[in-house]
Amino acid sequence: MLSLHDLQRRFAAGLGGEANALDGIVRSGTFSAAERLQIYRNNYNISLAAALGDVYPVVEQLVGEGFFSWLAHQFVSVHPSRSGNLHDFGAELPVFLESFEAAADLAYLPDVARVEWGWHRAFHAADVEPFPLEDLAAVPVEEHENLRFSVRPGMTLVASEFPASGIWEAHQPEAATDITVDLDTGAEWVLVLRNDHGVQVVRLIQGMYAMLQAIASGATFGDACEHAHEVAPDTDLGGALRDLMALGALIDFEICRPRG
Amino acid sequence: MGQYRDDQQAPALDGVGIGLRAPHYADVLATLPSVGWLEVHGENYFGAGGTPHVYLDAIRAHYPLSVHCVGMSLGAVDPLDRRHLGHLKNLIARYQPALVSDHLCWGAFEGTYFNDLLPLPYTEEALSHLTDRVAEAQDILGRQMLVENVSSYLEYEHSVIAEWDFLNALADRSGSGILLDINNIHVSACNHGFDARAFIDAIDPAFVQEMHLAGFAVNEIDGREILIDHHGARVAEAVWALYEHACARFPGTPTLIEWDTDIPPLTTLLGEAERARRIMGAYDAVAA
Repeated sequence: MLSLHDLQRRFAAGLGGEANALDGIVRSGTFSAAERLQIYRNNYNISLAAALGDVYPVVEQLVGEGFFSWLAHQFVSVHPSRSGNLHDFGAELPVFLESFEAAADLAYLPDVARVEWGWHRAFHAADVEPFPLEDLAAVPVEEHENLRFSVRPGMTLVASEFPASGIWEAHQPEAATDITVDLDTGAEWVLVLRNDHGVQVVRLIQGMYAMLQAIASGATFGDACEHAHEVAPDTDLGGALRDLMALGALIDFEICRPRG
Repeated sequence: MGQYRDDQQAPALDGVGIGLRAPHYADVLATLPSVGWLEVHGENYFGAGGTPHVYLDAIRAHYPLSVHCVGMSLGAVDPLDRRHLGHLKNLIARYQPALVSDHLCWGAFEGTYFNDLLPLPYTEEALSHLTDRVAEAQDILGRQMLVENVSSYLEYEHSVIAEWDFLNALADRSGSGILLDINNIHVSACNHGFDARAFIDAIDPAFVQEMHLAGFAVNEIDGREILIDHHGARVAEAVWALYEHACARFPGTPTLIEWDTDIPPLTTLLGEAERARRIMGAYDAVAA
């Protein structure tokens, strides 16, 4: 008798595209085994494409609904869902789009997708209360370079050669319909996070982005400032720190004294 | 096994509930409609924070809750996903639902999830596998679960147990309860040509703790029809009739109106809930 394991292996192959995978093990009647499998395959493709469209509505608008369904199908065959929770599905779409020939004309698509995945992550991220400002004010000036900040959970940084967040904004439901985004406006440094005002997609100046990126990878404030200064020498370092705190990007800090 | 059978972890649900979906959060909180309870999809609250939890926290203060899952893949041969169950356990601790449920189905193979409710063969092997899995899930969660019958579009040649006998046996052996989806019974009965009333008559009332009502779609393929469970329409007349039959057999069983695609205004759901309440009430009166 067909074991449960073999049945599920055959069914899985059928959902992956083997049209006759269930022949001989399924009662036919009004519909053949292949037709019955096709119903499940349709449900599978439609529901995963819908889940992907929920997370990437701007990518869907940019490529059009029909193309997006096909794109979703191609994506699923390479990066299937790995979780019983559909909210986990689709993280690899930006990377997948980078080598997706059929959409190569839309070079900004992967970065727009990064902004959208960032939005999705931020939406479900943990609620946190950032440290009170007076705690930082109490740290002596000579210790500032030894500060190590922790960043907000579920925060995403996107450095794009394109106006990725401008494109994203122009495709929001509340955006005016006549916005034109000039693709030659150049690079953008984008922060996506959720603070008390909801999910924010914010363009940062390059030095501030470099500072936050260094902080996020564990650098002390001193090293982060040095990095920001190297990347963009005219960065107002104090102003950048204040802005990052105002955005709620920094949620806690400790003082790391160098040893020796 | 069976140690969770008589659990009373939270106040039992009373009467008719509706599925709480994101488009209705603000409406529900502003109007506090008179329904007995609410049901949410557990996986929609597996995230650590944000709007879903803000609303659910606020709404939970006014209504008893049931947590219904779609992704445990109870019937899969893959190992149970402990991370998934961990999220569910946290959710249970936070919101103290009266009932927790998932489906009699499988949905993943070798780590690939299909995020669908795929049909199982009704064999002794599958029954024994499901019994172990449900027992394991209940042990991890530390509470009883309900298992729901699904709509199906195929039957396996080697199935030897009737679906209703399978449900009863699973509940009996694992100590789980049954969530009887009346719409799914109708859909599967039409698709496979069995008698939906006989299904209901065969289910042991001692196991049934919740019922579901929803709408289905009719797909036509070259002039032949098959019913598809899509939760995107009003409850069909045939399903209301079947629900009356079910109320006679399982009087007073908490019943849910589910609607997941093309979600209508809240008032439409409340209208369906009112109709269910009248039917349930009529049979309660008879039973009393």
